[in-house]
Amino acid sequence: MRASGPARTPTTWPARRDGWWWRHRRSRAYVLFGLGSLVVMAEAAVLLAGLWALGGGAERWEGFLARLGEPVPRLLHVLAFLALTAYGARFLRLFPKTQTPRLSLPGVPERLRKRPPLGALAAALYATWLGAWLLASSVLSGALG
Amino acid sequence: MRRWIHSIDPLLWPLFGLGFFAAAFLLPPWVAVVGIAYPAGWLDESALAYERVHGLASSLPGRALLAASVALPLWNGAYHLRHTAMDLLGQGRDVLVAPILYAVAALGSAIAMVAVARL
Repeated sequence: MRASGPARTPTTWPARRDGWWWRHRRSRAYVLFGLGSLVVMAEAAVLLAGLWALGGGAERWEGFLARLGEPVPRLLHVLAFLALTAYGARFLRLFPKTQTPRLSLPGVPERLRKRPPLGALAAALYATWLGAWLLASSVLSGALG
Repeated sequence: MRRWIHSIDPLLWPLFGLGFFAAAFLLPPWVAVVGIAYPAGWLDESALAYERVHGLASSLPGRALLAASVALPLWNGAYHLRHTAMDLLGQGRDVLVAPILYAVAALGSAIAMVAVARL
């Protein structure tokens, strides 16, 4: 039996179903960024399927590649590539801002305590991003290794 | 359940962060080469021949990279999607959404470990 008294304070906010997030540019970008994680999980699942096929022998692997060659998967992969690029670009733009402006760890020299300028951090990240893409694509496509 | 979900949150932050790097750095080349370039005929037939790909994947760095390329994006996606669901559907459903998403990520990671072990 519940004790009498004032009603409990709600601890969660009520869900809004009025499409609030679509109407404002920044909240739209924020939610689309979140929904991009669906594409991330989907492509991770495709990679897992490929990995499983690879472990199953040459025939399974060729079958996996043949399925990826069909029109619908090809189109979905083009869309997924665009979504992953946008997802990665937004993350790399945001990541420098999440780094602490100053490290107060003992033993760290003073010149290394301050965070580099955000622009420099971002440039280094984008350069690494491009380098990783080139390296991974070269190895996968047979241009390297 | 809610307390348990909140208590494991700090364990998931590194997976979330590393998952962003894996999703940004490793997944797009995979999609570009295996999903777009090879089916379009832009690459030599031998580029994705079984012997070559199996040789690359079954090396120690290959296994580690592939396992990370599956597991980390799954955890990143699960964590990110959970928070997006909280924004869109309200916090009340989190006791249902969070365990489902994290179970998917855990299952996918476990299958990935088995998959790289059987290469």
